[in-house]
Amino acid sequence: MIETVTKNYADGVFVSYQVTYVNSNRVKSVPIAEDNTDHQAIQEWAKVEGNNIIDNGA
Amino acid sequence: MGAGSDYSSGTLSTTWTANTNANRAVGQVNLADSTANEWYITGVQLEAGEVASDFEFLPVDVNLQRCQRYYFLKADHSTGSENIGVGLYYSSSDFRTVVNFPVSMRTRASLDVETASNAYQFRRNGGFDNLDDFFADGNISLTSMTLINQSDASGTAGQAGYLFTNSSGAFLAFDAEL
Repeated sequence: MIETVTKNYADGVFVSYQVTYVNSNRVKSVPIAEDNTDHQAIQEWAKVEGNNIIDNGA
Repeated sequence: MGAGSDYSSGTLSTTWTANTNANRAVGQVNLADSTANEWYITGVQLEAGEVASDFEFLPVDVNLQRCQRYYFLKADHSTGSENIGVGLYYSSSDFRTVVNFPVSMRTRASLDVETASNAYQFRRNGGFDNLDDFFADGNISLTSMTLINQSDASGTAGQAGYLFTNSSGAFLAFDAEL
Protein backbone atom coordinates (compact mmCIF):
# COMPACT_ATOMS: atom_id res chain seq x y z
CA MET A 1 0.00 0.00 0.00
CA ILE A 2 1.36 3.38 -1.00
CA GLU A 3 2.46 5.58 1.90
CA THR A 4 4.01 8.61 0.18
CA VAL A 5 4.61 9.87 -3.35
CA THR A 6 7.26 12.51 -4.01
CA LYS A 7 8.30 14.10 -7.29
CA ASN A 8 11.94 13.57 -8.33
CA TYR A 9 13.86 16.28 -10.14
CA ALA A 10 17.08 16.06 -12.13
CA ASP A 11 18.74 18.96 -13.89
CA GLY A 12 15.80 21.11 -12.84
CA VAL A 13 13.23 18.89 -14.55
CA PHE A 14 10.53 16.67 -13.02
CA VAL A 15 11.65 13.18 -14.07
CA SER A 16 9.85 10.55 -11.97
CA TYR A 17 7.86 9.79 -8.83
CA GLN A 18 9.41 8.24 -5.71
CA VAL A 19 6.93 5.94 -3.99
CA THR A 20 7.24 4.52 -0.48
CA TYR A 21 5.06 1.75 0.88
CA VAL A 22 3.61 1.14 4.34
CA ASN A 23 5.91 -0.99 6.55
CA SER A 24 8.39 -1.60 3.75
CA ASN A 25 11.98 -0.67 2.92
CA ARG A 26 11.11 -1.07 -0.73
CA VAL A 27 10.76 2.06 -2.84
CA LYS A 28 9.79 2.46 -6.45
CA SER A 29 10.83 5.21 -8.79
CA VAL A 30 8.06 5.48 -11.31
CA PRO A 31 8.42 7.07 -14.74
CA ILE A 32 5.90 9.46 -16.20
CA ALA A 33 4.37 6.79 -18.41
CA GLU A 34 0.62 6.26 -18.61
CA ASP A 35 0.85 2.55 -19.43
CA ASN A 36 3.06 1.86 -16.42
CA THR A 37 0.80 0.26 -13.81
CA ASP A 38 2.68 1.92 -10.92
CA HIS A 39 1.99 5.27 -12.58
CA GLN A 40 -1.67 4.34 -12.84
CA ALA A 41 -1.69 3.36 -9.15
CA ILE A 42 -0.24 6.74 -8.20
CA GLN A 43 -2.96 8.57 -10.11
CA GLU A 44 -5.66 6.52 -8.36
CA TRP A 45 -3.99 7.01 -4.97
CA ALA A 46 -3.84 10.77 -5.53
CA LYS A 47 -7.61 10.90 -6.13
CA VAL A 48 -8.27 9.84 -2.54
CA GLU A 49 -8.91 12.72 -0.20
CA GLY A 50 -5.93 13.31 2.04
CA ASN A 51 -3.40 11.81 -0.35
CA ASN A 52 -1.08 14.41 -1.81
CA ILE A 53 1.90 14.11 -4.10
CA ILE A 54 4.81 15.89 -2.44
CA ASP A 55 6.54 18.42 -4.64
CA ASN A 56 9.69 19.86 -3.12
CA GLY A 57 10.67 21.50 -6.38
CA ALA A 58 13.89 21.23 -8.33
CA MET B 1 -2.14 -36.67 -1.23
CA GLY B 2 -3.94 -37.46 1.96
CA ALA B 3 -5.17 -40.61 3.70
CA GLY B 4 -6.54 -41.31 7.15
CA SER B 5 -5.68 -44.27 9.36
CA ASP B 6 -8.46 -46.37 7.83
CA TYR B 7 -6.35 -46.54 4.69
CA SER B 8 -2.81 -46.25 6.04
CA SER B 9 -2.61 -48.18 9.31
CA GLY B 10 -1.89 -51.62 7.79
CA THR B 11 1.18 -53.16 6.25
CA LEU B 12 2.52 -52.23 2.89
CA SER B 13 2.12 -55.08 0.48
CA THR B 14 5.08 -55.78 -1.79
CA THR B 15 3.29 -58.31 -3.99
CA TRP B 16 0.02 -58.35 -5.87
CA THR B 17 -2.65 -59.22 -3.39
CA ALA B 18 -6.33 -58.85 -2.60
CA ASN B 19 -7.43 -55.43 -1.44
CA THR B 20 -7.29 -54.53 2.24
CA ASN B 21 -8.30 -50.96 2.89
CA ALA B 22 -5.81 -50.45 5.74
CA ASN B 23 -2.98 -51.43 3.39
CA ARG B 24 -3.91 -49.13 0.53
CA ALA B 25 -1.89 -46.04 1.49
CA VAL B 26 0.70 -47.24 3.98
CA GLY B 27 3.57 -44.78 4.26
CA GLN B 28 1.66 -42.06 2.48
CA VAL B 29 2.80 -38.55 3.41
CA ASN B 30 -0.27 -36.53 4.28
CA LEU B 31 -0.16 -33.27 2.36
CA ALA B 32 -3.19 -32.00 4.22
CA ASP B 33 -1.87 -32.41 7.78
CA SER B 34 -0.31 -28.93 7.92
CA THR B 35 -0.85 -25.62 6.16
CA ALA B 36 2.96 -25.39 5.96
CA ASN B 37 3.15 -28.32 3.55
CA GLU B 38 3.93 -27.57 -0.07
CA TRP B 39 3.24 -29.47 -3.23
CA TYR B 40 5.43 -28.95 -6.27
CA ILE B 41 4.20 -29.78 -9.73
CA THR B 42 5.59 -29.26 -13.18
CA GLY B 43 4.58 -30.09 -16.71
CA VAL B 44 1.13 -28.52 -16.45
CA GLN B 45 -0.27 -26.43 -19.26
CA LEU B 46 -3.49 -24.49 -18.79
CA GLU B 47 -5.42 -23.50 -21.87
CA ALA B 48 -8.63 -21.65 -22.59
CA GLY B 49 -11.28 -23.53 -24.55
CA GLU B 50 -12.09 -27.19 -25.08
CA VAL B 51 -9.31 -28.24 -27.45
CA ALA B 52 -5.92 -29.14 -26.01
CA SER B 53 -2.92 -28.19 -28.10
CA ASP B 54 0.42 -29.95 -28.08
CA PHE B 55 2.37 -29.54 -24.89
CA GLU B 56 4.81 -26.67 -25.15
CA PHE B 57 8.26 -27.05 -23.62
CA LEU B 58 10.26 -23.84 -23.62
CA PRO B 59 14.00 -23.68 -23.02
CA VAL B 60 14.92 -21.95 -19.77
CA ASP B 61 16.57 -19.05 -21.58
CA VAL B 62 13.44 -18.40 -23.66
CA ASN B 63 11.23 -18.49 -20.59
CA LEU B 64 13.59 -16.13 -18.75
CA GLN B 65 13.57 -13.65 -21.61
CA ARG B 66 9.79 -13.68 -21.69
CA CYS B 67 9.69 -12.97 -17.96
CA GLN B 68 12.24 -10.17 -18.26
CA ARG B 69 9.91 -8.27 -20.53
CA TYR B 70 7.89 -7.65 -17.35
CA TYR B 71 10.41 -7.80 -14.50
CA PHE B 72 14.21 -7.73 -14.53
CA LEU B 73 16.18 -8.38 -11.36
CA LYS B 74 19.57 -6.79 -11.89
CA ALA B 75 21.14 -7.42 -8.47
CA ASP B 76 20.13 -9.15 -5.25
CA HIS B 77 22.27 -9.20 -2.10
CA SER B 78 20.60 -12.30 -0.62
CA THR B 79 23.71 -14.38 -1.33
CA GLY B 80 26.29 -11.58 -1.06
CA SER B 81 27.42 -8.52 -2.98
CA GLU B 82 26.30 -8.35 -6.59
CA ASN B 83 27.58 -6.04 -9.25
CA ILE B 84 25.31 -3.37 -10.73
CA GLY B 85 27.60 -1.53 -13.09
CA VAL B 86 29.85 1.42 -13.77
CA GLY B 87 28.89 4.84 -12.46
CA LEU B 88 30.20 8.34 -12.02
CA TYR B 89 29.73 11.57 -10.14
CA TYR B 90 27.77 13.95 -12.35
CA SER B 91 28.57 16.56 -9.70
CA SER B 92 30.04 16.31 -6.21
CA SER B 93 26.66 15.32 -4.76
CA ASP B 94 25.03 13.67 -7.77
CA PHE B 95 25.82 10.03 -8.59
CA ARG B 96 24.56 8.45 -11.83
CA THR B 97 24.73 5.06 -13.48
CA VAL B 98 23.04 3.53 -16.52
CA VAL B 99 21.57 0.03 -16.44
CA ASN B 100 20.80 -1.72 -19.72
CA PHE B 101 18.05 -4.34 -19.82
CA PRO B 102 18.59 -7.74 -21.48
CA VAL B 103 15.33 -7.47 -23.47
CA SER B 104 12.91 -4.68 -24.33
CA MET B 105 10.45 -4.23 -21.49
CA ARG B 106 6.69 -3.98 -21.95
CA THR B 107 6.65 -0.29 -21.12
CA ARG B 108 8.95 2.21 -19.49
CA ALA B 109 9.71 0.38 -16.26
CA SER B 110 9.66 1.44 -12.63
CA LEU B 111 12.87 1.22 -10.68
CA ASP B 112 12.35 -1.13 -7.74
CA VAL B 113 14.95 -0.89 -4.95
CA GLU B 114 15.66 -1.38 -1.28
CA THR B 115 16.07 1.85 0.67
CA ALA B 116 18.29 1.41 3.70
CA SER B 117 21.40 2.93 5.19
CA ASN B 118 24.44 1.97 3.08
CA ALA B 119 22.44 -0.51 1.00
CA TYR B 120 24.70 0.13 -2.01
CA GLN B 121 28.37 0.97 -2.36
CA PHE B 122 30.19 2.92 -5.05
CA ARG B 123 33.94 2.19 -5.15
CA ARG B 124 36.12 4.86 -6.70
CA ASN B 125 39.57 6.37 -6.40
CA GLY B 126 40.78 3.81 -3.85
CA GLY B 127 37.83 4.45 -1.55
CA PHE B 128 34.09 4.09 -1.44
CA ASP B 129 30.86 6.00 -1.05
CA ASN B 130 27.83 4.31 0.51
CA LEU B 131 24.44 5.07 -1.01
CA ASP B 132 20.97 4.37 0.39
CA ASP B 133 18.85 4.24 -2.78
CA PHE B 134 18.27 5.74 -6.23
CA PHE B 135 15.63 7.35 -8.38
CA ALA B 136 14.94 7.10 -12.09
CA ASP B 137 15.99 9.83 -14.46
CA GLY B 138 13.48 10.93 -17.07
CA ASN B 139 15.37 9.61 -20.09
CA ILE B 140 14.05 6.07 -19.67
CA SER B 141 13.72 3.82 -22.68
CA LEU B 142 12.40 0.29 -23.06
CA THR B 143 15.96 -0.99 -22.88
CA SER B 144 17.76 1.18 -20.34
CA MET B 145 17.42 3.54 -17.40
CA THR B 146 19.68 6.12 -15.75
CA LEU B 147 19.72 5.85 -11.96
CA ILE B 148 20.48 8.89 -9.81
CA ASN B 149 21.38 9.45 -6.16
CA GLN B 150 21.43 13.03 -4.90
CA SER B 151 20.80 12.33 -1.21
CA ASP B 152 23.98 10.54 -0.10
CA ALA B 153 26.47 10.89 -2.94
CA SER B 154 29.72 12.60 -2.07
CA GLY B 155 32.69 12.66 -4.42
CA THR B 156 34.54 14.46 -7.16
CA ALA B 157 32.64 15.39 -10.31
CA GLY B 158 33.73 13.25 -13.24
CA GLN B 159 35.23 10.52 -11.10
CA ALA B 160 34.12 7.03 -12.14
CA GLY B 161 33.92 3.69 -10.35
CA TYR B 162 31.72 0.66 -9.97
CA LEU B 163 28.54 0.08 -8.01
CA PHE B 164 27.30 -3.00 -6.19
CA THR B 165 24.91 -4.10 -3.45
CA ASN B 166 26.34 -3.67 0.03
CA SER B 167 23.92 -4.91 2.67
CA SER B 168 21.40 -7.62 3.39
CA GLY B 169 18.10 -6.90 1.71
CA ALA B 170 19.58 -4.72 -1.00
CA PHE B 171 18.29 -5.40 -4.48
CA LEU B 172 17.76 -3.51 -7.70
CA ALA B 173 15.10 -4.43 -10.22
CA PHE B 174 12.93 -3.02 -12.99
CA ASP B 175 9.19 -3.53 -13.07
CA ALA B 176 6.95 -3.23 -16.14
CA GLU B 177 4.30 -5.72 -15.11
CA LEU B 178 0.70 -5.60 -16.27
